[in-house]
Amino acid sequence: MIELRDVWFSYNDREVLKGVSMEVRKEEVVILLGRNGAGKSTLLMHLNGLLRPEKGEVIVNGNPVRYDRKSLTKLRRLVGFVFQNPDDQIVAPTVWQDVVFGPENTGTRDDEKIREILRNLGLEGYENRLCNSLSGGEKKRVAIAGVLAMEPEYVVMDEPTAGVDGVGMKEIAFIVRELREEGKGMIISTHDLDFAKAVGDRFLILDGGMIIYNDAWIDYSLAERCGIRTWMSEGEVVLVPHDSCLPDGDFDFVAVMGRSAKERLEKEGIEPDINTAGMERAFLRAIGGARVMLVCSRSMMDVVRREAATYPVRLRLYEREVDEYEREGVHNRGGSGRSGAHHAERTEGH
Amino acid sequence: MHRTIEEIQLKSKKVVTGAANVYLVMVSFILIYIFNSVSVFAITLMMFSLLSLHSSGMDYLRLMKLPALFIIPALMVIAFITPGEELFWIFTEEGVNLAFKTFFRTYASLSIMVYLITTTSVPEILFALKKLRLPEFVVEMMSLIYRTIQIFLDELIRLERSADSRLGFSGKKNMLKTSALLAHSMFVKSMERAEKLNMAMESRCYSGKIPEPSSSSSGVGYVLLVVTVIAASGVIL
Repeated sequence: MIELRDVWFSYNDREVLKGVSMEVRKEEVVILLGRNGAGKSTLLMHLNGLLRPEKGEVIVNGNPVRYDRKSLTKLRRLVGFVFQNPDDQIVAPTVWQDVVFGPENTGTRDDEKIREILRNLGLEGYENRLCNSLSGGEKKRVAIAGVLAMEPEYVVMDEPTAGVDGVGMKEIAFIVRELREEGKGMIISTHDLDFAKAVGDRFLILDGGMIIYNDAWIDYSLAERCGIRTWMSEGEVVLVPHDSCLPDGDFDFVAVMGRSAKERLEKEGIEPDINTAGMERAFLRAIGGARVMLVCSRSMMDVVRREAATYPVRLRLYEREVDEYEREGVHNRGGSGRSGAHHAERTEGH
Repeated sequence: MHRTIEEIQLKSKKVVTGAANVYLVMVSFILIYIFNSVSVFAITLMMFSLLSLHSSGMDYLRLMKLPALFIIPALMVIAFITPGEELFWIFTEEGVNLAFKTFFRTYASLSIMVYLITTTSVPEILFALKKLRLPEFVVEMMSLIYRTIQIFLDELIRLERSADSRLGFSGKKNMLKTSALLAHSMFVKSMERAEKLNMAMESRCYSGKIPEPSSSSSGVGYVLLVVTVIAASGVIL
């Protein structure tokens, strides 16, 4: 296991890491999310000993990292680091020379193993190719092969999907899954939530120099607010419990879910556009860019919240107590009866 | 659009590969230096032209054509300034003979060099020289320099395109200003790149070893054939 305990780091006066603690286990893919400049790369470089914390410590397989040459060589054989830009990482002119670079320098070169890695990464036949004649995706795979050739127990990848197309992203996701199957522990920084969800076992969000989120799941609303690239859609689902006032505003669709909610809408004289499979169809409409009001029985609110986290849909909760004035029969939709009402409106994930 | 030398190397159909190619070229140079006759030059030119045309096709002719721009005027000068019996107009007989011999010597040498650069990558050349006892640190430095040149060339092409897309090279004044800016940017990038290269090497436990390319030598039969033909022509003719 790799552990970071209260790690602090700054570039001159700018504090980048402010007491980061986290761990990465074998056979686990940890995804590190965060906006640009959040300090993801800085954090990852601590795991391979490229940076030394000002305070705190890094522990690998139970041993605190020491920064003398011999200990660093040992650490770097255990923890491989894939740079964000493959041109930063590829140091030799040809594919073979670069992939063999690490094992040659550590004296652990095994040509058969390296050929197998090249085969697995679809680089067979590329051995004598000059690295500058490769495409971006191919360079990325060469960079990964160069690290895997050192047979590390843990692999750190800094934004492996940056600048990679959909096909390339699927290839990298496949490689990551294979490595996890082989028992390697991985920590991957990315802005790409699709990729993160495809491979991640645990998600960390780094913001303001601290880990502000660490869980086995992450929802789209939270990711969006943390500056993470998600499905872009202007649509949203406004979730309203059946015993709340109904919100103002223009909605493209009104959906209903649950008996109590249906009764509520009947009482209000509103004919819902979506009567059956209300939640799923509301989500679909929102993904398509529509604004949907989903009136839902209070008992089913948690189900909607949970399901919304697994779809690229923005969910906003609207909750407002119906005050006495409204109960006396004044129509509560359209702006009346606002004074004295307790008003709660929030986007899920706050 | 013209292909780069590296693209030509990649696509060429090689009959001789790896270090054997480098040794073929070196031995051929030594032979034409020793025999120093027009017939040897002509046969060498023919042999290497055949090899190059087979491996890189029209690219060979394109590369051979370029030096003609300065070789032909130089030959004219040789034919003109060499003292001797007047042959016609201002040219002397000795001058024309020397120009003729220089032409064949130059083109024989050029054909060997063009053959080498169109079929053999820089790392292969470096590691063939390493086998001939070139110091390891020289090979290491040259490999890193070569890789750095690759990266800077890509970087420079990107910067140039970016400047060009914003009319950076419109007019002489703009061109000068843009060139100065690009030089500055390249300098800054080279500093950053040096730092990153160091990090990349550190992260992979660099201890002073640059691995050899994977290509093995093949086509030794062709090497023997070419060398024998050149040597025999030198002895017989």
